[in-house]
Amino acid sequence: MIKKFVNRHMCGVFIAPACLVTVLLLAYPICISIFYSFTNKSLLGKPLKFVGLSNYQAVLSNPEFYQALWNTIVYTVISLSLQLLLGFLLALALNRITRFQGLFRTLILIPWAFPMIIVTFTWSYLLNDLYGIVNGKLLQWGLIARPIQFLADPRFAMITVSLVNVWFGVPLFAVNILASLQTIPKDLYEAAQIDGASALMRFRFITLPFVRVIAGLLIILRTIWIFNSFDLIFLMTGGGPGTSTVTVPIFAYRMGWTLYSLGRSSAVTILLLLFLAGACFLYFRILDRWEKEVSQ
Amino acid sequence: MKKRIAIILALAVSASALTAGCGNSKKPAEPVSTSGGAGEASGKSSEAAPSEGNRTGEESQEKAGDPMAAVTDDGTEKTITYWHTFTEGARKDYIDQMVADYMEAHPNVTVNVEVYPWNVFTQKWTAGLAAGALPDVSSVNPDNLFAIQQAGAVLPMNPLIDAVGEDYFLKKPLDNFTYDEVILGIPYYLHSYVMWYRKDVLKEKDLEVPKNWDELLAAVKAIADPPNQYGFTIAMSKNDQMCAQLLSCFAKAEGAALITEDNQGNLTDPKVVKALQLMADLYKAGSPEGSINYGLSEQNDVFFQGKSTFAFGSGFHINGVKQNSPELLDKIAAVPFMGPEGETLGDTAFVIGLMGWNQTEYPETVYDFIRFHFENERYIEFLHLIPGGQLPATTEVANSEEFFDNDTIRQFQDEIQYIQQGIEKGTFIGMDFGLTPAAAALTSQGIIEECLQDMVLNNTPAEEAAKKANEKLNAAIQILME
Repeated sequence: MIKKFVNRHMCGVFIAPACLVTVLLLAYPICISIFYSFTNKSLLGKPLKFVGLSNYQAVLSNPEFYQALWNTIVYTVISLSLQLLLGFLLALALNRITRFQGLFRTLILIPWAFPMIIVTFTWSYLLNDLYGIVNGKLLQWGLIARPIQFLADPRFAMITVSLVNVWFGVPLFAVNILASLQTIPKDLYEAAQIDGASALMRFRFITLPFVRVIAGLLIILRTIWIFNSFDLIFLMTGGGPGTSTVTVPIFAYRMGWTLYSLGRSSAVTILLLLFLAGACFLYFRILDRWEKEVSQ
Repeated sequence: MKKRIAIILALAVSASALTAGCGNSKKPAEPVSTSGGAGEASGKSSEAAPSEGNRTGEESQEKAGDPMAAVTDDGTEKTITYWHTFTEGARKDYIDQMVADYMEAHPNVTVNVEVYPWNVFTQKWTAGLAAGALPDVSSVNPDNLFAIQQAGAVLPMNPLIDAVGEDYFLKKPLDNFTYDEVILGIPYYLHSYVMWYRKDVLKEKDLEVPKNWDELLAAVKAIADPPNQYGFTIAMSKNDQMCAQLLSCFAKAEGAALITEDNQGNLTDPKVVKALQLMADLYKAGSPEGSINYGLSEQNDVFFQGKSTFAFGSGFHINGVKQNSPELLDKIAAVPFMGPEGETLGDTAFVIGLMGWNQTEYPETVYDFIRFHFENERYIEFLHLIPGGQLPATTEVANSEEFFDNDTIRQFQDEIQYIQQGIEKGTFIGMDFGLTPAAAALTSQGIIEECLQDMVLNNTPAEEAAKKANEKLNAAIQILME
């Protein structure tokens, strides 16, 4: 009897733990956030009251939210495009290296291995106007007449935090693209060369199709991570100067944790989720097309 | 059939055990009378935890003549959790030793200690509140204390005050921790903010110690010689609250509050606008350009390393200079903050307190453990870990020779006197009219810092920047007061 039951529902038995984990770790937080976003949920444990759409109304009528959304998009686009470009270049270079491969790969992974708190404090100190080595060296070499205010000038703050994020994120792209490059059969290149394909053509018609599926997945993952990233900008600038580096997660944090208003904070989170879900939908459609092209 | 019943029973027992595990495993303490004596407090505890009082509690209470210690030492095993924020070496070691001493003196009590930095305190207790995992005792700052009170999680300290007597603690700091006659916490150590300056730099430039805002600005202009010497570091990072604290110092000195009695932002008050303008002028006249993104540590570094002539801070600055540039220790001094005409109508005080959480099963042990912190010899040892930085909250120690019997405290006795005077007449930032949740909006949102950034980066007139900031402040206050 039991044997029959198990045989009949074997697939269900196997996927049950994964389903349970998904429900507990993914569906529950999302559902509870959606629920809270329609309530006055406070971190101070005040009685819960249904408030309809008023949290969304409050967030969407706040000009700072749009500023934060714009900043988040700028931060994500700069970080992601440079990480992809530099990661690709590094991977191509590493793929060519035949000696000390292990050493170079380890060296490249170093930034990724640092905890974010160390990354932010180190870079903040390096870029400090009075004691930082970056300004110190630029002054010493006569390249600048006065220290550059990397984090205190609204013109430079966003690009500075984005570049620190690039430094941190490039290894992930480099290592994964390198792994992908190494799966390309060598004879494809040899055949193309015999047929008279130039280096650019070999890159365009062999390397790129093989790599772009992995790169696409990395782009999706990093888009989500960068869009949601809080610690790097918060620790380096706190969203300043002015509102030049306030991103949506910082906006949600100030709303939720420091004003104890989890209801409004949840509304911001749900709006962020919808935005990201839309972006990921587009990415996945493109990725699907690429995958079909590769399989053909 | 029997098997099935047995299985059903087992499942029911497991389910009830699980349900119990999900909830708060600790029984909340009964509300404690805020007016009764110590005996009354112990009586209430007996109701809350019958196992305590029914055995030997009453007997030992009579014998010891100390109801809290008696209930604590009734022989039953008790475990309390203590969250504290003294993360750095000497103070952490001291607390560890003090906890060990307490457990040695009360062998039936186990104190579990959790240490965490201040900046995660809000997250820690709000998460603990949601999960039913709060401590019995913790250190606390005024902003959080009032929020905890709003969440209904404070164990009133009135029974402890009733037991030790009203005069045991200094009146003003204790009043600052009192709301509607309920004492929310006990001040552990105190300080207020003064204006530190470098005597040698002023002497070199043939300048007097500024007595009003015009003189201060003129002195900063005369001294500033970047990148070698700066005048006054105005730290504006939105990650910190340095501008809010400094604005509070200047505004209180001229008798203006940052939040009104009816919990509205008061940044558009002409006096506050004038103070904002002064801070912007001080920045332009002689603050490091990058101080727009400086927080507390960067601001202090500039002074501790001798690059800034003026700084605002508490007695902790003595220790900071001693550690970083001991050769400068003889060259620093401090004066109270002054208003535009030299008036000193108010001060910004600060208190780190100790509090009990009302979910505790052992309120008497909590009171007894908190009181243990203040036993004279031990308490003075703690205060001397950062001489001049941690000033006493108990009347006896504040007036004792032993406390002042310290080289650093003797060297800076004038400054410490100013700080003590500030404590006596000072209030917390934004709490001029008593504890209020609105004050948290001043320190947690970076509103004042953003206002100053707007003034110095965009040359926005002070009135306009103050108006924008006040609107933001009121919006934040409205959310906090909901």
